[in-house]
Amino acid sequence: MIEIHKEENFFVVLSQRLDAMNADDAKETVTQELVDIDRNIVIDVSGLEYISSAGLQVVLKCAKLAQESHKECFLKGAHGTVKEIFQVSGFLTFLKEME
Amino acid sequence: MLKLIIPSYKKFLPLLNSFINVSSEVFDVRQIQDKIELCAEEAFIYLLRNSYRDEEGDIEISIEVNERYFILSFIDSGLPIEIAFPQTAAEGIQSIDTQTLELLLIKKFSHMAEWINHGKAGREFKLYFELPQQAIYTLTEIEESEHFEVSADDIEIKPFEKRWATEISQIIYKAYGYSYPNEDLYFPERIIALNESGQLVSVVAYDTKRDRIAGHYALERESLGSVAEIGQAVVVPSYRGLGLMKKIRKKTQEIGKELGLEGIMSKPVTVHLFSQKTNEVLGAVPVGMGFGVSPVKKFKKIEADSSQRGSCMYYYLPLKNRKRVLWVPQRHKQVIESIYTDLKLDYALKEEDDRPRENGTVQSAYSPDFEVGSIYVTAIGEDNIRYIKEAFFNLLFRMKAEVVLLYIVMEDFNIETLISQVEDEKFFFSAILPSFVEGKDVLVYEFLPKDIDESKVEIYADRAKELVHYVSNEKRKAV
Repeated sequence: MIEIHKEENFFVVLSQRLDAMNADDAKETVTQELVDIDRNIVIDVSGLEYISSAGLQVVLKCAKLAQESHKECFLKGAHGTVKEIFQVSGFLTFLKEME
Repeated sequence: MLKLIIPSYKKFLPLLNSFINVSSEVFDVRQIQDKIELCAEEAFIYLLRNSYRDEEGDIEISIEVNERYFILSFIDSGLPIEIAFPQTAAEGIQSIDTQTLELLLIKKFSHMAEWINHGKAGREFKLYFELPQQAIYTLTEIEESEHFEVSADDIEIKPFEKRWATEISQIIYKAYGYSYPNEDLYFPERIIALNESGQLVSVVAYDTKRDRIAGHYALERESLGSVAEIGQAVVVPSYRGLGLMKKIRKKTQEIGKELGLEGIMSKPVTVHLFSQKTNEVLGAVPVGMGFGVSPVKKFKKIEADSSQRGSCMYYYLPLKNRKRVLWVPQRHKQVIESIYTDLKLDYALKEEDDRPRENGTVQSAYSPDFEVGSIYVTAIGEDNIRYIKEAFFNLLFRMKAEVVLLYIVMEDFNIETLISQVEDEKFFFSAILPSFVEGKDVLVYEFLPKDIDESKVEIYADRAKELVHYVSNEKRKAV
């Protein structure tokens, strides 16, 4: 569901489903692991099959943490309906897409 | 109808998901299953948070499918709440409203949402999802499987009669699914009302032997102006090969003449050549190109590009001639004169460089069906550009128009300065339309926020190709 790796960027890897059932846990993981943000954050959704507004709030939290630390937040691998959800909700106005 | 009753706790969400997924399979709507599942979760969570506020109660979920929609309904008897959908998506991280994110997604991914109060029986939140195109297509094929020998002798081309309104809706539905942008055509009572007011002039091919409609064409005159738009062309598949399209259109043009119209314009699509060819054969003249002026929709049974907005040629058939005095911008003089020559309309050019009056007239309108904003400059004045910018901002950022069209009258005053100003604002020359706005000839300019991939544009006639090339160059300079 969520994994966070610290490499040249922070990689937040979201996979399978991110919905109202698991979003709170994912948010908790973000709070615990995304600390001392000294590099950009890349949210990799290439393995994400479903996201709802509850899941979007996890992404929003990552973006806000990046912004507070004056870093960039990128979205990687969005496709199909998942991408459409990011688009229509206005999230692509502040997340930068990367290949 | 399928029903599920679950308690108002989040832990029951997986049960709701299973219900949705199994129902999607049963009703064969797997193509839109992800959207239904998303909206179901959003509606359920929204009701838990706002209607029950962590209190216990039951939510009844029902599913039914009719010819057009997959309908998902939530009935609850929690706290009375009012549902107000957000008008627009957020722009920027600070404007994300997490309290209305669920409703925003429901608004974007369902076709329609209703909030019905049943009094003591609770409230119903009803979501409609349009059935996938494939399902409509299959339905049509079953209905059209009937075969009979048709003969042109059985067909009469006739003006509209009330009794045909439902059949007109049905044949439009069969031809276009629900992709035809003007939704009036799906409501027989609207077809009747519009024909009675003269805003629509329907002409049908009527099969006298079988008492049924074989085809339809219509003139659209929303403001009852001196130019009508011709369209809504359909020939029922069983009647193809009889040349009906041409016959109905010819009759429609004759009726236009009888009505005293100055001309008829049409906007044939550029995803195929057939409609353009019909225009050419019946004497209409290409007068411009509209990039991205049609919404993103699939044309049923026509190989179309659904990844971007559709483009149309502008064709014009003059029905009357009058002497007009025109101010045309020097930079487009050559192309404008060649269009007038093709149209065989009398004109004289004026070139005096007088100062225009201080105050002009600018109006604007937005068409949600087409997602197109229109700005009309009907009197030239020094303040035009200020009002154009104001209208442009409103259409683009408040109404979220995908394209903005700007119509500038050429029969009022010198427009050289105004043209420079609008081209500085990234509008580009798109067409000319004689007698189109308040009976005056206009220049049509276009603002296109997202460029169009022109490799998918197909153009039939050579003179049309030259014009498209010209407009395309203008677009390139602006976009």
